[in-house]
Amino acid sequence: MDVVTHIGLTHYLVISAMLFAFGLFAVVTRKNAIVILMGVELMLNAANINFLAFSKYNGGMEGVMFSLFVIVLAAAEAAIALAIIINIYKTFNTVDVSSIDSMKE
Amino acid sequence: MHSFIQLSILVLLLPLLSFVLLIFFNRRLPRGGDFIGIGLLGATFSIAAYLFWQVVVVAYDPAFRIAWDFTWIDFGNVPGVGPLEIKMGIMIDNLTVIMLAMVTLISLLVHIYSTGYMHGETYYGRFFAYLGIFTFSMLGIVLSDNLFAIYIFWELVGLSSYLLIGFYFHKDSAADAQKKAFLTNRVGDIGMWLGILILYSQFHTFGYEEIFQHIKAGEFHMSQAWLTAAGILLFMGCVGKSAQFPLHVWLPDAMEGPTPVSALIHAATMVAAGVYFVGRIFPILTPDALMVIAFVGAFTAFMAATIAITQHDIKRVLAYSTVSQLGYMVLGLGVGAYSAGLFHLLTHAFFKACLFLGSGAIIHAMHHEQDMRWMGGLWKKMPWTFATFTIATLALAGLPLTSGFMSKDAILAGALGYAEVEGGGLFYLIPVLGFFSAMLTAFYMGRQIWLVFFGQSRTHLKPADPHHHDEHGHEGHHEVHEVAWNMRLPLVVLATLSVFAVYSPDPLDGAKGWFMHLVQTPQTAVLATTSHDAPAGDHAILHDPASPTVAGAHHAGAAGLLAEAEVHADVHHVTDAVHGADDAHHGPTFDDPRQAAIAHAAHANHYNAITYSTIMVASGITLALIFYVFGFISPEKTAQRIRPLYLYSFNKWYWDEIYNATFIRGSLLLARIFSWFDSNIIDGVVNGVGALVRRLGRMSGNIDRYIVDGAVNFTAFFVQSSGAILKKAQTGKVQTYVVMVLLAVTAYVIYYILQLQP
Amino acid sequence: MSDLTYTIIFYLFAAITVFSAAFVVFSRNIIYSAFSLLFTFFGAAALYVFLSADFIAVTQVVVYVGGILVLLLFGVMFTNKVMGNRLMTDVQNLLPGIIILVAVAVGLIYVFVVQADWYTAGMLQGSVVERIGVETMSRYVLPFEMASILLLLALVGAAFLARFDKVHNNER
Repeated sequence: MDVVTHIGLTHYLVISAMLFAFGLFAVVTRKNAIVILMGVELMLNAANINFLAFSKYNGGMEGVMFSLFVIVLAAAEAAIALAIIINIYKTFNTVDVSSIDSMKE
Repeated sequence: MHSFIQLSILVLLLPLLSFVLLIFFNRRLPRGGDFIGIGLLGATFSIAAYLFWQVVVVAYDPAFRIAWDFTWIDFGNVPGVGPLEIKMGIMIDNLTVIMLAMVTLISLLVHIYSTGYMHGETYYGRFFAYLGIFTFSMLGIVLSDNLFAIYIFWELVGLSSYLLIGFYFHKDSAADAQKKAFLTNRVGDIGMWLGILILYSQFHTFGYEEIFQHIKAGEFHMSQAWLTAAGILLFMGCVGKSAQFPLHVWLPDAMEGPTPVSALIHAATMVAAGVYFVGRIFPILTPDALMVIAFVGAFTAFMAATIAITQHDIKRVLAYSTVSQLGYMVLGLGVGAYSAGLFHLLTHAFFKACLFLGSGAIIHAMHHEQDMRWMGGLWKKMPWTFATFTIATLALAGLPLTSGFMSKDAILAGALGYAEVEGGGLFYLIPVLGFFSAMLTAFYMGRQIWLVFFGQSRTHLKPADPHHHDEHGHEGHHEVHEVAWNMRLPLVVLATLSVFAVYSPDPLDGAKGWFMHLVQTPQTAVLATTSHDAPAGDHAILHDPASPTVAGAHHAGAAGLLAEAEVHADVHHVTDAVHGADDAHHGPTFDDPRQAAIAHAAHANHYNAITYSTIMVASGITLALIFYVFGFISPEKTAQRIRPLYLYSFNKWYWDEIYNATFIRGSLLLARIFSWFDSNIIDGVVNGVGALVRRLGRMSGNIDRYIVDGAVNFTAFFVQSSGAILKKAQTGKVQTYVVMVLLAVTAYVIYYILQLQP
Repeated sequence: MSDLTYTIIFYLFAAITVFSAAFVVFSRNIIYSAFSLLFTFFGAAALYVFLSADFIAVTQVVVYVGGILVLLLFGVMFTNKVMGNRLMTDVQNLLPGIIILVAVAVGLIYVFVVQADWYTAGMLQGSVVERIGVETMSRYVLPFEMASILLLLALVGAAFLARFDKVHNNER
């Protein structure tokens, strides 16, 4: 039970793994571009958790600083992604990524 | 460069200048530019006369000779041939100078005459231009010092002859005649060129003198027969140009040209070029070749004379007479009477030109009537023409006191001498034919004189020709006048030159004159050892009792070469004894015993020839008188009685018909065979190849279409269908791709994990 | 704070994070997903606090909840006719998705659990705000400036991409 009661690095890693797997699942299965974006955010959070967990249990500041930049990048990424999604919507009148295949042929 | 050479170049080029000026500017010049032609020819003649004066009168040297040449084309060292360079050059000797003077004089006189005769012609100026280029070409032949150059000028005179015969090219007969002349000449020219090539192949030079030197030096490496062949082939050029049998047929037809042309080209100069050429190459002619030449000449002389008897056209009679006289000249050269043959060339040129120009005057006065049957009684109306024509006729017939008498007798004497030396019965055919032709000549010329000038005018007898357009409108009653001075002057000059005194102080012996002195038989270049391979029979005949002088000489030695050398010496002795010391200047000493024997036999037969020929000429004239003047025998009835012979002569021995049936039909048949061969075999092959190629093409097309295209299409189809299959993977949906990637990543992750375990 | 309390609170936030994330993913209603994401972000922020990264937790709340989530909601509303529409998202690749989900989750957890002996030099203790300030201005000054430029570019780029393009519209 020590594994369960004594919170260690592995617990965080398991959480981040689950978040990452969920995010991946969303990216793979959802048709709506915004939901896909949400999945991406989930995966970024999973990464952040990993960074901070390793930073915490390693005693260094690298993970902290990286997670800070990840958040910044995530913000920028979300802004750009939404702009693109809105443009797509203006062009195709939908945000269903499976129907946006005009480059297929 | 000798000044004579420079002057002769000027002589050569002035007529060419006349041609160039007139052919381009005759329409822009007043009077068609005839004054340019006459002026330039006058200048040419003046220079030629100056040369004649310097060489013949002042120098008076039989050995006179100047030569100059330059390399015209240097081909360098041609593989298979060796060093090849073609030289051009000028050689002046006595014969050249005499020919220059003769050609330029007659050309000048014909120019003057043409201003009257050709007056009002459409292409008046062009006529003078053609005369200019003819004179240029003829002078080129005379001046050339090598075979190549003479061949060039030979073709040029052929060309100008062609142009002038066809001067009235709108007439079919003239156009036909011009083609006939040109083609017939080609036959001879081919032979001549082959002969030149034989000599060139041996000596690698075209120059006469070099060739003679080489032959003398024994550098002719092929058998003697080849040298004979070369001589006969070169003679073929003469056969064509000088209208010898069997290529004589063009000359009578060439009378379609304007009469001045007939006088200049087809009587006096061009046809004589063949004889001149044989004279030039005389040293290389072997005895066999000379024999052929002699027989051809004799036969031509006789045949043409028989034809001339029955012709009605005044110019045709003269044309056949020309052929006959050319036969004499060739005969003379063939029998070795070199000087005599060329002497006859000179005298004949003057009196025959006079005859032609006289006939031209008559034709002109008669308004282009050429048929002697409708003439008559002209002597009163045209006294100048009558007088000059008669003098020239006497010269042609060979009556004493004329130039023709001297030259013809010299030839006949040579023929007699030749027959004696050769000795065979068959060789006597040559002088016999010669003498017989002399009789016929006298007969037909007497007939012509009578028909044209005496009796009553028969103009009105001419049957009306519905097609004949008479521009004067009063046929049969037009006035016949003596021609103007510009046509009379040449007649008088030429008639004057037909008198013996111009050539020799002794009317009976041309050998005493300047011509025979200056133009002497050249030494033969053919080596005695090689040339004298005549059969033994010849030697036996040589000593035939029929020729007492030679026979007497024979006793001195045995048969063979040595014997002949002694014959030579003996004959010389005997001859001197007969003719006295004044003959000493005559007759060079020959290295070749045979040549010497012939020369002396000819000399010995001089008076025999005179006697025989006078008898023959007298009998000929008598016959003419009997038939035409006194009317003892009616020509018409005689013609009826010997109708086959008459027709044979009247139809010119049917040579044209024979040639038509053989050569021309043969050529046409050959052409048809070739045409058939071409259209059936060659075309068949071509078409067959075409069909084959087409079939191959279709096959290749099928291969292309089904196999190659099939492969290509299959590739395309394969790519397309595999693409169509693979396309399904390319949904265009980003997430599908992500799935693919992630599945792969997952697979790797699983592999990684499984690998971790140990 | 006792260990038990600490552990219970940790598991509580962990559960919030994981279940809300699962709801984000499995819910077909976009609005539900978006609001569920809010809880995920909060849960994550709480976990950051457990990891001694208080500044990051605050930034997480400010940026994600205050910025990104709002943006997402705006995006949802811009791109869907809200009235009369259930704002559902369609599902595809379900089977591969599940396979990937299971495989990745199981794989990663397995690895993390098996490879438990991580090298640890020492625990991060106390607040990191001051150290973040020092690090930012010293060691990470270049990435920091780059990030600022990136944000500026993202601002301009987003504005450019999302602007109302009259000509473009007319062409369509």
